[in-house]
Amino acid sequence: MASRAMAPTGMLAGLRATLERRAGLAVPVVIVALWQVLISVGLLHNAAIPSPITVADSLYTGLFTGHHPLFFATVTTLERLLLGYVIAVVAGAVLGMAAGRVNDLAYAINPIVALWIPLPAIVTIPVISLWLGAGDIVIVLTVIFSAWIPVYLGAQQGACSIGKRQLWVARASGASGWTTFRKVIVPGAMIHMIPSLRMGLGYAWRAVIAAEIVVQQGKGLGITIFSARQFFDVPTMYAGVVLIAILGLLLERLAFPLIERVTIERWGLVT
Amino acid sequence: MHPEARSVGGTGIRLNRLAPSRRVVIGSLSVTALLVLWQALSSTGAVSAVMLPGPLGLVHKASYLAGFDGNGQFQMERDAVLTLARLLSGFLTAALLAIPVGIAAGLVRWIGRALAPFLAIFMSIPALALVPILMLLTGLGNATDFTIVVITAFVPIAMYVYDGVRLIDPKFFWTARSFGASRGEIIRHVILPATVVPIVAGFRMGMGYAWRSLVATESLTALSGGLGYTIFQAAEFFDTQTIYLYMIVIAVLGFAIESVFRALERRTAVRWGFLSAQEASDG
Amino acid sequence: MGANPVSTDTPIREHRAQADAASRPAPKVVQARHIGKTFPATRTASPLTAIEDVSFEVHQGEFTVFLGPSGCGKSTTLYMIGGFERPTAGELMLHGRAIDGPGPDRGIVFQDFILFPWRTVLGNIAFGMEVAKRFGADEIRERAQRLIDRLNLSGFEKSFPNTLSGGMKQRVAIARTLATDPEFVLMDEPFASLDAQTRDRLIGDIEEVAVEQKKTFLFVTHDVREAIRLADRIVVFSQRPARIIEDIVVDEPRPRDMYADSMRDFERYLRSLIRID
Repeated sequence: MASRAMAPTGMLAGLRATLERRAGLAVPVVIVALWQVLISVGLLHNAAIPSPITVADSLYTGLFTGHHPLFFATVTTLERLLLGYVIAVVAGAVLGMAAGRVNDLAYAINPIVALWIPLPAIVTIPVISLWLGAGDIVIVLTVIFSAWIPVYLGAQQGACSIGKRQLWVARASGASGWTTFRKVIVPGAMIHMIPSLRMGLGYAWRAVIAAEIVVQQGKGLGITIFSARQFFDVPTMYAGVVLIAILGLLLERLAFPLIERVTIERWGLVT
Repeated sequence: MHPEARSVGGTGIRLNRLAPSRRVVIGSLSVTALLVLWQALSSTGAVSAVMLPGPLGLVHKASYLAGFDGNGQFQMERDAVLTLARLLSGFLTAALLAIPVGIAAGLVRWIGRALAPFLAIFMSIPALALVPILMLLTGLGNATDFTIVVITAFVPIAMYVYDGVRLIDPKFFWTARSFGASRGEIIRHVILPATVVPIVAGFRMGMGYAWRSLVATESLTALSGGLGYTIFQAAEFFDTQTIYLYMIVIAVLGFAIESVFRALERRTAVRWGFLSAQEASDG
Repeated sequence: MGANPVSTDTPIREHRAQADAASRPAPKVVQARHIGKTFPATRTASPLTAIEDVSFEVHQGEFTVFLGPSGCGKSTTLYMIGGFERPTAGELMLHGRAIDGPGPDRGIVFQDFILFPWRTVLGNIAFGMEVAKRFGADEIRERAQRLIDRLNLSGFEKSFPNTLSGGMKQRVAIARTLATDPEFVLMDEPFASLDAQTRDRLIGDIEEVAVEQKKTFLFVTHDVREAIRLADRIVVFSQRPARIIEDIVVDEPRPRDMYADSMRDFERYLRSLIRID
């Protein structure tokens, strides 16, 4: 009892602690509020800077009213992201795991990967457009080119870190090569691959938006932002960026733990 | 694990000394095979010269663009210099801003808590999404390119420095103070050296993002030259040789920049034990 | 059983303290009177009382060991003497005055070494002397080299800490602390993260150093054998919130035979004191 009374808890100390805790949320909120106030009062007057309320309104209208353009744009973008990411992951993982177990394959592929890495995926768009014309395929391929590298590297690392003894156990129980691959190598590599899969998703996300902005055709969030500029619909541009930010955060914070839960925890391997 | 071991396939551990020749041989074979295939496809006309210019054709075009054949063009050099100038100026600005901000955020808790959401938000927005808005605010041309570099480089540098300073074990400060170090000496002998490793890591990451975003942004901010600008311009005119050529130049420059930072990492993080040599080269 | 497994047998303690006063005319350099330390509430934790009503005295030139179960607050007490924390109750005096923060008179060695990874062995050892500003460059190098040789670190002057074993790292840390010739040497479970053999060797090194130099050592440990080997006096802490259970002068001449019956009995006794229920 005596010790509790001696702990410094004044009203002031408590207030300070609460402020510190809420600083994370407080600052963006304060900035947005300030932004709104400056515009309403007339101090901030720039055609290129709409008020937060206008942006919110644009966001709402774009998502929930009329033809729901923002909503469908989001769906299109996510479709491309998903398609590209899944292909990149499958290709990268399979190749990576194989390279992790078969030295010669690694020796053959790794130099090519090393040459590939410093090439920004955007820069491949002119060539891809040349070969395959315009359309979704360009964007999806850009995503694949971007996302497969970290997945490949991670899978290779993961596969080659599987201990000898696990394989001996598999062989001793009479498992064939393919079964061993499926039941020992893949789960074993998967754990090491989680950070690479995460990185790959980040790369894929950046690639899909960047590709859409560069290609400037068809539907999608990036394109929406770009064409909004043509029509000088500034609030929609900002609304698009806000949507992109939210999606990005959701992908990072929600999508990933979800994937982890489905795969890792199902296999009983806890990270 | 043996310090010289590199886990490349097989049973998981191979000594560097035993396998280099095989690795180098197969590696070179594979790259050469690709080059040969490339040359074959273009010279036999299996693929049109427009779609896939042959390597020799590229070499000619390269010497033309780079002014080696005495035509006084030097376009390639001009583009490269322009892009690099934008990169360097933006990057330095970002570093000069991000390092003090990161240190302050690491030392003063509320600054760190206020900074964190910004970093999180900007990390989740691909830089290119900001380009259209920036084009409205700062117009076409260098200002937008510069700003994009600053933003893309700032975030990782600030993030790493913030984390690095925040996580300094308080006992290091205690140790310094027990020797009677003044505040200035603590900054000089504890805080600043502790930021070296995070700064290099942040630089490496920031440079990668900045390079990629800059090249893409140049393609959109259509005013002046630069590698990204020219490559997309060439696409408009179906000048495929330039496209492929510039792809190679961009990749090579990107690789050179990465190597600089990897070398920096070896002399700091690896030397002081923060990273293993393997981790540094993988990145 | 509660926090104090053995009742404080006042007559014995007083007897020991009296004998102590008679046989040891050395001045008291640190005095703790009913000190307590409570850490305030944080975002994630409620207030924590580490020690409650601790009293002891440290005599000049003595090797004093704070012995107690893990997490009992003895390290916190050491940190308060070092000036890194302040007591929230009671009086803690150094040479008769309240402690006003850390200082070059009290050097400290931590369990996790806390060597500067960006400085070589030589650089680490020289650090304190550089900061002290009362040593010339030549003197710094000379003193550092002497310590390096004394603590078996020869040949590793230019090595970075990450290339050293745990035992060597701790030796560097000890050398660093001794380099500025502080009056007090504070050691917070310095050998806890080392393997048994290295620990043994380093205990021997510390023993030698303590005998050579006239410094006052304050050593925190949960290892009874370490305590018996090194201590001129053992202050036994109870579990958290800590109180002093015993304050024992160890009169055994050095080098100490750990296998002698008296020592074994003593060890058994101490173990019973800090036994956790």
